[in-house]
Amino acid sequence: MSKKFFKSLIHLSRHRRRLYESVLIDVRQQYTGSVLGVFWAVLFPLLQLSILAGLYAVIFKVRPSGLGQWEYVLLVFSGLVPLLTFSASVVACSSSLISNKSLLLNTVFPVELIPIRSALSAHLPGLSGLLITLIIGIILERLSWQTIILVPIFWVLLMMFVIGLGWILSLFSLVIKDIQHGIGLVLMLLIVLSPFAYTPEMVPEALKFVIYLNPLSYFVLSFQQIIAYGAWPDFISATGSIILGLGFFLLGYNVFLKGKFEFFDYV
Amino acid sequence: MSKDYALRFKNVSKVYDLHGSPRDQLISVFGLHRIGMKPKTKSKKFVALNNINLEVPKGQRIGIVGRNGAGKSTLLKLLCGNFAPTQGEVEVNGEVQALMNIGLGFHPEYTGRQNVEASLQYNGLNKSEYKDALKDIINFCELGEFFDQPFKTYSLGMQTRLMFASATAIRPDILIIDEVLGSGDAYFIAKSKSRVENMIKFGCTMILVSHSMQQILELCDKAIWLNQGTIQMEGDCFRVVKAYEQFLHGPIKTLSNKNGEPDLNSSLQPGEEFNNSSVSKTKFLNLATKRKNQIKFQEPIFFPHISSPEFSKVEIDTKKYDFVASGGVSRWNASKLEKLTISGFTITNLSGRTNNLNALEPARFHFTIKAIKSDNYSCRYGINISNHAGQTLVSVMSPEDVFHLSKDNSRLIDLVFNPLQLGPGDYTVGIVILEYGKIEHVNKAARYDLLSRSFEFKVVLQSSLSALNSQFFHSAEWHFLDEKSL
Repeated sequence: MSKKFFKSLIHLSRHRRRLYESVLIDVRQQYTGSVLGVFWAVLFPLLQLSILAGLYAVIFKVRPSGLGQWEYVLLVFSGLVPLLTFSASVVACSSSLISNKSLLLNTVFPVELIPIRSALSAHLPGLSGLLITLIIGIILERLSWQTIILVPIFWVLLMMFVIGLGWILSLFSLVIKDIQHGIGLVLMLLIVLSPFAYTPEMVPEALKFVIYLNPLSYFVLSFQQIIAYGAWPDFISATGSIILGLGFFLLGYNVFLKGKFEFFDYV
Repeated sequence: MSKDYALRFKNVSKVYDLHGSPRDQLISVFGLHRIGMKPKTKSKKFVALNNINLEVPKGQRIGIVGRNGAGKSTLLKLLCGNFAPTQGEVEVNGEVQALMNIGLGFHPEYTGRQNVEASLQYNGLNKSEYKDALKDIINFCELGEFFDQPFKTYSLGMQTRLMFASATAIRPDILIIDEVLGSGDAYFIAKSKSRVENMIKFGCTMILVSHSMQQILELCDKAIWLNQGTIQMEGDCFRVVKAYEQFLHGPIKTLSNKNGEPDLNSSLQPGEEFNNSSVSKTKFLNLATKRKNQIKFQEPIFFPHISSPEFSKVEIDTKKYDFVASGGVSRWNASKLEKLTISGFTITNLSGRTNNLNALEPARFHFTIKAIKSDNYSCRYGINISNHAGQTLVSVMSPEDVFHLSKDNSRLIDLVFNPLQLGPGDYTVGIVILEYGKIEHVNKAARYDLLSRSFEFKVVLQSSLSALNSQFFHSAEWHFLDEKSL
């Protein structure tokens, strides 16, 4: 990675304001015309989380040792929030170039920002889901000072992972239309295989490697430990999250820079 | 050195690979042939631009002409910076604004105002610039209350207007316009054009792609003709447009006269049709034989005022306004004399009341004036015919009319066009009654009444003459001489 690469990243960061405004517009566009409007951004994650948490807590009656019913709900919530955020943002990201072809002809709005914009506006319900989870954590008195410091850091790492992946997927989608069809399935598999409703201790030793093959597990475990237990995340989860976040961000940007001219010809 | 140029293309080529299937495309893009995957069909190369060299100085307005697929859009794409040339270098100095994508950021559920805000934001305006631009857009697109209604409720014309207005609200260094002026009604096209002209006045460099040669001639000071990816011709607009039109229309033979010299007697046939009277034929022959050299008149032959047209005797009502233009009769206040008023108007042709007139056939405008006060009057009448772009094409002033009119009595004024020499199109008519004065002082003359652009009529050209479509039919004489007799 050369000097030029970092220079262009710094150059991109000058467009923060433009990015922020375009995200606002994008979010408003998503909810405009609906009766409840932006209220959906709160209602949707609340219902989504409740349905899934209710399924595991009430119907499946999963109860890890040492956790009450509400503590278990908090555990599920704190694992689900990064998962659902990841899923929604990656879907939006990967189709961002295809569905905004006209922006490629725009000379003022940098193309690199298009996937970022889509990721940020799609992660908004996830962000309110995170706030709901934190409020539950406060009520249950599970949060600690580590939570307040670490949640924003890991949230940023999660979004860097999403954006890095989004840069690659959005570009490849221009040539491989199949990505649009397959991405939902892959995401579903990743979510199902993530340890959000159970703890790694509940998984048979022989199948534990499956958890660590799934990149999302690192984020799920980190958030669960930070929010539901108010503790430091374990070394493996934390390192995994950092490597995935930073690594994919840099890799994705590199791929996007090098590949954009090649791929844009197929728009 | 290079800073003098807004744009510079150095040996620029753009080659597209056309693949047989999405799978072949995938193999090519990711270089999968190296791991043994073979495309089913060989990709074809399409050369969109071939070795283009071009320098555009700052402030120049370049028009690009060429047939579909000549490489015009590819050339513009390369200017945006998101697309790279296969070979060569594209240099751009300054901020580029492209009007290729006038739908940018428009959302059906958003109101016009919200859409404009979004569009301007994507085009890089900050909040303070945005306020000025918004005012400008509201003025321009004349949407009224619709501006705060959802975009989806707009008619197509309103949508176009709003999108064009917001796209042109930005003042870039380099403006790229790709065929966006051609949408909307005639009134809006004229308005759009003056808006673009205004932008150019600010000194921005402009690249205009258009299939309307008239636009190129009006707006550009240099033109480029692209043909199959190369610059066929470059230079003065008029020369390039002429050469391009010749290239386009050259192979069509129907316009050229096979016989060369037209025969005097055979050319009488169309002439007869237009004058609709046998008198004109004999008069025309007399006129022609009087001349020493055998002179020939333009085809189709017509002679203004040579005969008296026989309008049908059908009773016409001139007590009311007939053929009122959209927007109604617009009366301008009398400057001081509220004594006479135009109380009726209609149009007839030879067969009766109509506002569908034929070019080169007689037409008659009737209007009635009514006295509000009894008096002796000395008037001059004026009729003004404009096209839909608002340009005055015909302005006819009458000589002095002296008369006495008692209160509530009327006077009927006829204006005969014999024949109507306007070309096909939609026109509006304005009428004025002035106090008589010298023709040089018409502008200062006191006004009794004025109806501005208040009536409309349409001119069509009979289909046998459709090849001659033009705005005005001039009468002219031709001289054919052998060189030795000079």
